[in-house]
Parts: sequence; structure tokens; C-alpha cells
Amino acid sequence: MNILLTGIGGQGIITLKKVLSYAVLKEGKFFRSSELHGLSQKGGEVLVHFRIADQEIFSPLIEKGGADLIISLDLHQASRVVDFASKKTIFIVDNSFSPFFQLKKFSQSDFLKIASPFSKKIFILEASKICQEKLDSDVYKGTALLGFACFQKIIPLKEKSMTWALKKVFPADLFQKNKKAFLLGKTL
Amino acid sequence: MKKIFKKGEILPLIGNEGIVVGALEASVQSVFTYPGTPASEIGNLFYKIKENYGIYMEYSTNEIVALESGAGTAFAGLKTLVAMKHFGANVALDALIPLAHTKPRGGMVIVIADDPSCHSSAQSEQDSRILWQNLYLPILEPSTPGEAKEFTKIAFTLSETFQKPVIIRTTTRVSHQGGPVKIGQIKIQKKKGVFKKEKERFDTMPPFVLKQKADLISLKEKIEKYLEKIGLNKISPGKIKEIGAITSGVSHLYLLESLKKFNISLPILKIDSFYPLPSKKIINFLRKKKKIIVAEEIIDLIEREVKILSKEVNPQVKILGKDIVGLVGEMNTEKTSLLLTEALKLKYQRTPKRKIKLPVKRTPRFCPGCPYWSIFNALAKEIKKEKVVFTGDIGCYMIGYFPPFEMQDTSLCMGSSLGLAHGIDKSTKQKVIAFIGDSTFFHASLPNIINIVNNQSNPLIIIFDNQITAMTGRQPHPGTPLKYKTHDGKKEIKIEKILTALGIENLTILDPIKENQLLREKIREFLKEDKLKVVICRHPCRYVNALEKAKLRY
Repeated sequence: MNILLTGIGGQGIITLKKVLSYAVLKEGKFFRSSELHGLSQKGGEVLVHFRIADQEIFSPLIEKGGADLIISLDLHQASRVVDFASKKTIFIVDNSFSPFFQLKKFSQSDFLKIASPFSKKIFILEASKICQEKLDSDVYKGTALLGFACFQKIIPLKEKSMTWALKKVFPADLFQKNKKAFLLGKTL
Repeated sequence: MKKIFKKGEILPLIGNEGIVVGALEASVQSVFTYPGTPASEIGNLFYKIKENYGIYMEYSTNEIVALESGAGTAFAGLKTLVAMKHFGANVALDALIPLAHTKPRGGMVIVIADDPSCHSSAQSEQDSRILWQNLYLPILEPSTPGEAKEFTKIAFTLSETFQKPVIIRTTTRVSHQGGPVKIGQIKIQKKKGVFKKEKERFDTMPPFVLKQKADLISLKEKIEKYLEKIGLNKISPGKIKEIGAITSGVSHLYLLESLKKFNISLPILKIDSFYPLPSKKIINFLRKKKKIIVAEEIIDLIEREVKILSKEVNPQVKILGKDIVGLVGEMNTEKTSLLLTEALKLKYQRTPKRKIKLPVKRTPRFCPGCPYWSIFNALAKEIKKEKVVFTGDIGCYMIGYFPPFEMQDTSLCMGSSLGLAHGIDKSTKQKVIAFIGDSTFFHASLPNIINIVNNQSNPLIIIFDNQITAMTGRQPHPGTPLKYKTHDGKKEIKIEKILTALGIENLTILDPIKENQLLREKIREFLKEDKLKVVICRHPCRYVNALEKAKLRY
């Protein structure tokens, strides 16, 4: 399965990758990923390629049109990566947009206009809103989206392995918050 | 102290972490680096674990300092690793070439990370393998995090066996590639080195250096045999006999992906050692082949060697490589598929370009609360940017290139803003402002500042001092206050003391957030006068503690 994780530098995309990595290894599966660091992270776009399989796979990169799942923490960013999407792609996108100098407004319908032709199904979820309400911060929205993907059985990983991975990646206090966020994924 | 890695565990690691674990398994004793993407995580991880494993590790002032210091510990018999990004290798090159002629007593491994497609390197695509022609040092190219670990171990053994430094060359997609890695036995022996005098081993004076060069070149065949014996540069068989592929680094993975996609089986020679190339193996591989695909990153270096070797054994063979995929940008599966389908005369539909208008790209910006916002705000308020030349440099302040400020007219390399400002000031009537960072100040600025003072030009030099090497992950540098560097550095060196000692008179130190009016005043003064002026804008990076505070979790 080819998963593209995207968002804005500082939103924790690399941490989400770590969670997925541990969960995959817990289940005895194989993964290969690719991430970018440095200048691209400073509030710019962040893209993590993450490929899961039962046996060894090769390329760390997903080809254009080759994503099975795109998880995005930002509506605009999700529309920027449609090159990786096709008719078989599921989008899980947080219903938020963080404005930047060249673009002040970007709506749900702006995103849908671009992504709809290249998707099997699109979920636009209120992860940041609900995390803000229930956990006092939208920083957990990525974990909530992973929770959604897991409970909807969109990613081939069990709840138990995902919780184990969260515990592995986060220190005790943050683990509790992230576990709650993960469970909120059920209600999204 | 608590050991981080447990034998037998399978962990998700990126290539750079694989290199660190490989070095630990090889019992590395000292590590030197200057941060630079895509190599930074090597230093970051050593920085966090050095006390756990009793390793000497430092962030050196720059890459040549790191290499020379590493040569020192290796001369004294310690197992040493030096890591840098590709441009760092340029900085270190002055020491690297003579070092190749010496014989370190301890194993010495030098990691150089290239960045095809310039994902995080503003200046240029560079293929560091090209250095081989002056170095004649083994260059190993891993493809995966697991190989990054194994090749680092092999590199140490190779270095100890042949008493030569060994280079590990990675690229971004290896350094930042994630995958499962099995941890082996880690046993670090803490010991003091001894420098035993032996001029012919460590000194490169002429005419003796020519004998050293002859010895160095003569190692090629022995190393080739050694690598053959330990099973590097493997050929995997394939069903098609008349077409073969020669691959290296991450390109090997892309080709495997393409073969799977088209359900084709070809014999593949995977080049693990770029130098020495397994030339006998290549010659045998070329026999009876009609076509050869070569898949490698950046420059067609293996391809050229293959072409030369083919002249002897099989001049008719057609070699497909960079003439098909081009010399610009990183490799990927689309490119290896193109090579494959071209060689097999198959139809390949590249994903068609879609006629959709994507919204504008989000460009990097200063973090919220970044002190550099205030510096550029002051500049934007006081200056019409058309009237002043802004020479940029390497660091977070490069973000000033992007909207809304767009104040960066040049960028070459670390420290270059000062040389360019000097030259432009000398040759024009224009006002020049040079930007330089704090870490960059120590890394590469002193000769330029001395030159500006000595040969008298009059730019405004703005030192963007956020007290940490921010862009690469907040690593400490010589000017970082002690409170921010618990693991490293025993002294804080003040930039202003250096500048005063150099005779800089117009020197102001200010906080760009709290004293923004004063900064604006200094800019106005500069526009009126024709005098060299230096302003140190000092305010800690908002995340100054990020690396120090980050808890390792594996």
C-alpha cells in the first residue's frame, strides 16, 4: 500500500511516519519510506512517501498516480499532491487551511474541484476542530487522522499495533494525549 | 550509562541512522562533523548518544576542520568517522587529497551525502564521486538503511585492512530513506590513542608523496579482490540474457521496482563500490550482451567507465543511461522504467501531464517568532530593494529570498556573501548589504572579513545571530551560549570580540525584536555614509533548545 503523508513543516508529519513505521514492524510487515528535511521543512510543504507490504518492496518513492491513500493535514497541501493520485486514491484530509503570503483563502470546494477527478473517495474531516475542543490543541490532528484511517480499515494495521507504536514514539504525557486523539479518529 | 540500541532488535531507521549504528557496531571511537542536510542526522544522533557509548564526538567549526581533526584521531590509532554534506566535501578537499596519501592507524570512514535534485541544498546538484580521480580511495554506495549500516562496518574493516580512509557516499533518498534495520553487537572500546612518529606514513612532503601516490594507486587491484571476496558488487541473474543492467545506490531500487512493474527479469550488476569499480566483473558482464542499462544518480560516471570497458570486450553493445534520462534531477522509477522500456522496445506510457491548474506552492517562511522576521521587516521599511544589492549566504535567512521580502540577489556558498559584497563594492557605486549567519560566521567568514578590512571596502554586514545552527536542526556552534549546549563545547566565543580584534570600528550589537528602531537607524546611517559597518542582530532562535531537549526514542 502506498501512503502519501503531507502537510506543512512543523505539523509533525515525520512523527506520523515514525508511528506508522513502528506499527508496520510490530505486525512483521515491511515498509520503505522517504522524507525530506532542511529548508523544505521551514513552514514549507512536507511530503513523506510511505510504502507498506507483506514482503520486501523496493523504491522508497511513490510514482505519480501511484498513491492508494493520501493523508493531508491541510486542504491546500492535499490539492498540491494530486499528481500522486488516481481513480483508486482515497483522500483523508483535515478541514483546515493555513494561509500564507501568496494565498490567503483556500476552501473545501477549491480542493474538491482539483482532487475529485483523481480520487476514489474523499474524506474531509474536522480533526483540528475536534482536537482543539477535546484536547486543547490541534497539534494532535495528524494522530486523529491516522486513527480514522485505522478504524475505517483503510490502512492494513491493527489498532493494537498503532497504540503500541504511539507509545514507542511519544513520551508518557504526550502518549496519553495522542492515544486520545487516535481514539477520536473513531468519531470523525 | 544506558545503551540505546539492543542487539537483535529490528528498528525503523533512516539511512543516516543506519550509518551511526554501523559505526557503533564497528566500535567507532571518535566522530567529527559539521551539520548539513542531507547528512545532519548522523551528527545529531551521535550528539545524543555519545555519552551513552563513551564516544568522543564534536561539532567542528567547519568540514575541513572536522576532517583534519578526524585525521588526527585516526593517525593516533582511534576508529574515526567524519560526516558532511556534499558541499562540505569541497571545503574539506584541501585536506582530503593529501590525506588519501597517508596511512591512518585507526580505521577512518568519511561520509559524504549528495543531494540530487537539490531538495535541501540551494546551491547546485553535485556528484561527489567525481573526487575519485584525485583520491583513489574506496567509495562505497549503499542503497538502503540496512546497507548503510553494513557498508559502514565494511568501510571500517576495509580502512583498517588497507590503512586508507574509506568514503561512504549517500544521496538524499538513501540518507532519508526509512526501512527496517536489524541491530547487531555493539561494543565500544574506550582507549587513548598514541601518535607514533612515522614520517613516511603521515607526512606528504615531496618527492616522497609521489611514492605514496604510487602505493595508493597500486592498492586498487587488491581492494577490488578484497571486495569480491566479501561478496560486494553482486550479479543477480535474470531470464533475459542479451540485456543487462548496471545500477548503483538508490537507482538500484528504482530499477527493481520497474522490473517488477513490467514483470521482467534481467541480470543486474549492482555496483556497491564506485571505486574501485569491479572492472573484471563489468567486462564479463558485458560479454554477449546487446544492450546495457546504467542507472545511477547525477553524473554518468559509471556509464562512462562501462563505455570504456565495452570497447575492449564488446564494442557493439548499446549503452543506455543519461542520454535517455538526462543529466538534471534525481533518478526515480519513471526514469528507470523509461530506460527499461527503451532497451526492450516496449510501450511505456508515462503518466500523462494533467491539465489541471494547481494552486500556488507554499514556500518556506520564517517560523512564527523567528527573530529574522524583524530584521527583514526593518530592511523592507528603510530600503527600496531595487536601490541596494543584497548578497545572501547559507542559513535560515535565505528565506528572505522568498516573498514577501525577496531580498537576496546572490547565493554561492558558505561565506560567499562577504566576498561578493567586497567585489561589488569595489567595482560599483552601489550600496551593498551582506547577510551572514552566526554558524556561517565561524564556518567560513573570517578570511573574507579580514580581506574586507585589509583591502577596504564598505558594505553593511548584517550578522544574523540566532545563537545556534538553526536551519540544519539547531546544532550548537562556537558562539552558542553554554546554557544551550549541555552536551558540547566548553567555551562560548563571542563574535564581537573577534570583530573588534580585526579593527572593525562601526560595530553594533542589538536585539532585532526589542531594538528594531535602533536597527532601522543603523540601516539609515549606512545608506548615508560610505563606511564599513557591522550589525550583529542577536536573538535566540525560537527553537534554540530543540536538539538538546529532543528525547531519543527507539
